[in-house]
Amino acid sequence: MVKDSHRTPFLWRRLAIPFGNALLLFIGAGVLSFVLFSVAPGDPARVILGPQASQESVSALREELGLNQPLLQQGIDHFGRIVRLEFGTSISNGRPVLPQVLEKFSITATIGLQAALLSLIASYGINLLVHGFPKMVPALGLLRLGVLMPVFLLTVLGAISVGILLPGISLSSAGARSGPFTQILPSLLASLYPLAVMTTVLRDGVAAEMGRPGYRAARSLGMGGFPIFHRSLFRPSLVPWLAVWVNQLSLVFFASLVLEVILSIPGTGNLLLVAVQTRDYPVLQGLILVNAAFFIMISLIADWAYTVLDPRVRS
Amino acid sequence: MNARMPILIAFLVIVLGLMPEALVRFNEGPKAFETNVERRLESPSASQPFGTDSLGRNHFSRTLLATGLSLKVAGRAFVVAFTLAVLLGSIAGLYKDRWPDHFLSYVISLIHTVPFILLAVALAAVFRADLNVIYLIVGGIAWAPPARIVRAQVARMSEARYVVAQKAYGMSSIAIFWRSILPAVALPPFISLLYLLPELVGLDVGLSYFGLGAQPPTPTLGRLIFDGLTHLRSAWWISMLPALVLVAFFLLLYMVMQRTIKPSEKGLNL
Repeated sequence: MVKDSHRTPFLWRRLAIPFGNALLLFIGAGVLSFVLFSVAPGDPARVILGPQASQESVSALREELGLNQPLLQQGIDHFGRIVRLEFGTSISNGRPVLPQVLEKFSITATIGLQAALLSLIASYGINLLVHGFPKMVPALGLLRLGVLMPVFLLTVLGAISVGILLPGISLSSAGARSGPFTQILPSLLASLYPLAVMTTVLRDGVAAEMGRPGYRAARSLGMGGFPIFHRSLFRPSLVPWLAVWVNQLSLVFFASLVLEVILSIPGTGNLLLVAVQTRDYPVLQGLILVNAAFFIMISLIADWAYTVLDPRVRS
Repeated sequence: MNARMPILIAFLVIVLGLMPEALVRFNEGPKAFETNVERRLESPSASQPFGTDSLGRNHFSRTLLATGLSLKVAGRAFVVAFTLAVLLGSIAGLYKDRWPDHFLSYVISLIHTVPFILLAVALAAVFRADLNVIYLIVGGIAWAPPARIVRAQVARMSEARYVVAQKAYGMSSIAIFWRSILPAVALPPFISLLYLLPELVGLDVGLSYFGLGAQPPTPTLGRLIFDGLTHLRSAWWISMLPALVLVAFFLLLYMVMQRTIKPSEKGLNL
């Protein structure tokens, strides 16, 4: 069978396939959230109203939520609501889900993205430094060890050391206060784990490139210092490095959740905690869908960025 | 597979299978649960090596019990994830570019789209998972990254010359898969899951923060560390010592992995 992949793809195809895949994934996340909460044990109406509620009020709520309709009809309604961006109202406080989720998510995402960017810049800097001073290579062993620690542990240990070393900052209320340092502190702590991973990955990439003919050729032509690091070592390792970075975002999200708990920052962690304790399924659904949309978008951008940054990916 | 791999496997069986079992068995019961309010927040001493917590409980026993419970969950989750990864990844690899592959690859991408902690929390909350089933949830999420590796490996192996030769000889495809493909593809997902092992322990911690998994007074490492943070200034040992136990565990794991896994086998998939 002859495949037509050797033909130059049309522009619409290069756009449509990734977007189609992304849409398909988002629909999948919608199905997942619907199935998850419709197979949940127990009657949702009963869960919402609590064990003391009368049978009449439970049936009334079942009617209101559309639970008496066949499952397929419920599923179609569910999708209709997602498309119209109606995520329902929260069970615990009666407010619409979407604004709440977006508000809290933006706090977590800010911490996470700042942390991710910090780790990106710092790992480049460290690698440049190590390239300039090869005697520092053994120090990278510490970072390799960091890679093998759970995210939460590294984050908690960082927070504890900050709490002990800087007595002026009370850990439990850092998030409540404003100020440039307390704003950046969570991001700094959340960047510890990705920093370890990113530095290690870039170092491995650079070390591999140093054994290749291209690097030796550049050296023999008299290149050295920063230009050779940037052009012969960094550029070829760029795409694998960025791919790891994109995969780290999910772990950075976890680290921000942990930090929100430790530093009492009212972000997604808080919302999730209340939603789990009150069995607030609409909020849980909203959180899953917003996160899915965010991460699908990131991977869409990332896939596009790889092709721009590295001609080898295009083929 | 290199000659040192059996050492690594034996080590894992001990630290993820036998040791947690022993820790749980010897520390369950009154030792870890008995409260003694008169002796609350005592600093570490000869009789209380890890001090006492805010209810005067023996923090040493509680830490050991929590470590045992967490590692037990992680060990079982590891087995579940590895089995699923090899099984489903192989199916996807063998049926490359046909519908089983499309479907499984789609599921794997779907698991990757939502942060795993959120997925685990939602699953555990909906199914009201307790400590005995939490490993199914953790394993049911963690199989996705290594399955990608298995899929690629199986697909590549199916086109290897010796496999084509075996097909030409008329060997059944099950026999080929069992004897020639499976042994060649089992190692990379195993090692990539080992690198995920800290996160398997971490998921348990995340879940316990959200009140899922083990219920009080059963200690989990997450609860001990998080709860201790409120006493950090007056009683540092409550959260620091369990955290240090975990650090020691991962240090040990790191050292064993450094000495048993060849750099060429690492193929970091983070």
